[in-house]
Amino acid sequence: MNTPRADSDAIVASLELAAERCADLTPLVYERLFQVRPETRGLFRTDPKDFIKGSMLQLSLDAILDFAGERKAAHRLIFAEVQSHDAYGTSPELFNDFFAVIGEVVRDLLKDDWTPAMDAAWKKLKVDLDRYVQDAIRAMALAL
Amino acid sequence: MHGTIKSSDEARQSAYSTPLEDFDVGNPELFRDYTFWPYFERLRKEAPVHYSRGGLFGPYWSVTKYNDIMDIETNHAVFSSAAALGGISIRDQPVEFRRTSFIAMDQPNHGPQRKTVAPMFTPTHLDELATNIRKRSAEVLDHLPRNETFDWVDKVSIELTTQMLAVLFDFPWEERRKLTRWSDVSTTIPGAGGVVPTEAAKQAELLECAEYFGRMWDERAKQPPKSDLLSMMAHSPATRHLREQNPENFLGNLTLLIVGGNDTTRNTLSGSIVALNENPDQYKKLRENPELIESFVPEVIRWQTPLSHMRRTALQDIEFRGKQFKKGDKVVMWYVSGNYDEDVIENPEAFIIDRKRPRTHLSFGFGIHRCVGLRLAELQLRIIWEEILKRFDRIEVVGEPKRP
Repeated sequence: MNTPRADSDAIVASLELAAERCADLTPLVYERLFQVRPETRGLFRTDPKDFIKGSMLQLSLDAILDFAGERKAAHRLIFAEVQSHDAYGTSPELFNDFFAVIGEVVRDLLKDDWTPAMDAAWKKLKVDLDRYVQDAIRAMALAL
Repeated sequence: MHGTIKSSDEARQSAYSTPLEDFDVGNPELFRDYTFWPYFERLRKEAPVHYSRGGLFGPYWSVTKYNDIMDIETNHAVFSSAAALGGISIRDQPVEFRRTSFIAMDQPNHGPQRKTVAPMFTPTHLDELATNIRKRSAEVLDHLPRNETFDWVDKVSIELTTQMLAVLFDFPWEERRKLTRWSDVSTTIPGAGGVVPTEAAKQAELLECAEYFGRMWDERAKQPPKSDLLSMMAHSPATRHLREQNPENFLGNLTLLIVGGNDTTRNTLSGSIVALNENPDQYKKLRENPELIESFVPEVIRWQTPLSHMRRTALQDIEFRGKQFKKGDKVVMWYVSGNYDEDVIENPEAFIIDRKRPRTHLSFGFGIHRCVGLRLAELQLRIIWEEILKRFDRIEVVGEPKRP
C-alpha cells in the first residue's frame, strides 16, 4: 500500500522546506537524539567530523522519501538495518526514536510553516515505519 | 587538479570497440592488468545490468550502478548468499568445497552466527583495541628502513593486518604468518605459478588450518569465555556445535574471518600509499592537515575498493531494471564499479581526501551482510596513518604495484 498522495506531498514539502533552512540536518538531529537517548552519544565517539552520523541520517532520509513515494526500498532497507545493527546491541526501538527525532527537528525548523497536514503525515509515517521495524524484530525472533 | 584513475588508451579503445554481448568483466586478466576501468565505465552508461554469456566463470549478470547494487544487497528474500547455491564469489567453488559461513548463508541462520562475533567490533571493544593498534603500528613503523627501498606490502600492510588478526584470535604470535598464508590460499584460484598449484594442494592447506584452529578451539572451549573471536565462537550457542557437527561451517567461518581481517585492510593500506603518490596534491594536503585523516580513510576505501565484487544467486524469476533474471542465475554486484558511479558520487575518478560525504561507498557491502568489522578496518587505517604522518614526511612508491 502506498502512502496517500496528500501525506506524501506533506512529508516531501516539509523536508524540502527544512533543507532550505538548514543545509545539513546532521548536528540538529543528533543533538536531539542524544537528548532523547543519551546512551547513544557514546556510539559516535569516534566520529568527530559527523561522517558516520551523516551517512546514517542520509540513509534514514532515503528510507523516509522512498516510503513517502514509491515504497520500493524502504521496507527492505529498514529490515536490513535493524538486523545488522542488532548484532552490535543496538535496540530496534532506537530506529523508531530516530525517525521521530527527524520529524521533530523538521517541525522545529519549519516553525509557523509546519502545517496540520504535515503533522498528521509524520505521525502516520512513524506508525507505519514502526511496522517495518516490528517485521524485522519478528524475523530475528524466528532465528533464535 | 586531482589525480584520476589511469586508463590506458589501448584499454579504453578495446572496451569501447568490443561488442557489449562479448563483455566478460569477470575476466581476471582485466584486474591483473588494471584495465577493467573503461569496461565498467561503458557498462554503467550503456548496459548497467548486463548478461555475460560466459568465460572462465560461466554465465552471470553484472550489476554496475550504485543504487542497483543497493537494491540487490537489501533484497535478501530474492538474492541468496548461500554457499550451496554458489556463495558470494563469481567463481563457483567445486560442489564438494562449498563451505558455508555466516557471510555465505541466508537468514534465519545468518543472524545468530554473525551476532556471535559482532561484540568484538562494538565501540567499547574498539576503544580497547585502539591502544593496542597504536602501539603495534608505532613499533612496525619505527623499525622501517629509511632512505632505502623496501617492500611496503610485506613490511607494513601484511605485518600490521596479520598482527591485528593474531590479536583478534589470540593466535600464537610467532606463528602469525600462518594466518596470512591461509588467507592467501583461501582466496586464490589454484594454478601453476600461483599461490597453490592445484585444488588438492589448496584444500590440504585449508585442512591444516582447520586442524590448527580446531586444537585452539578445543582449548578455548574448556576455558572460561574470553574476548577473542575463537572463544566467542566456541562458547556461543549459535556456533559452539560447529566444530563437531558442522566442520565445513566451522572452517568456513574461520576462513571468512581470516580473509575479512587480512586481505581487505592489507589491500587498502597498500592502496593508500599508491593513491597518495599518484595524487601528490592530496598527499600535501594531508601532510599539512592531518585532521583530514577522518575523511581520507573512507575516501581511500572507496577509491581503492578492496573487494571488487560480491555475488548472489536469484532464488526466483524476477525482472530487474528491465532484464529478466531466472531462478538460479548468478548475479554479480561490482562494488568496484558502483564506487565510481557518477550519478551518486561527484567526480568519482578523482581521489579527494576532503570529500563532504566520504562514506558514500559500497566497499563494505550493504544490508545484513555488510562487513561486520568495518569500524575496526576504519580504525586501523586511521591510527596507522596518524602514526605514519608523525614519523615520515614522505613515503615514495618507486615501482609499479604488482597485482597478483
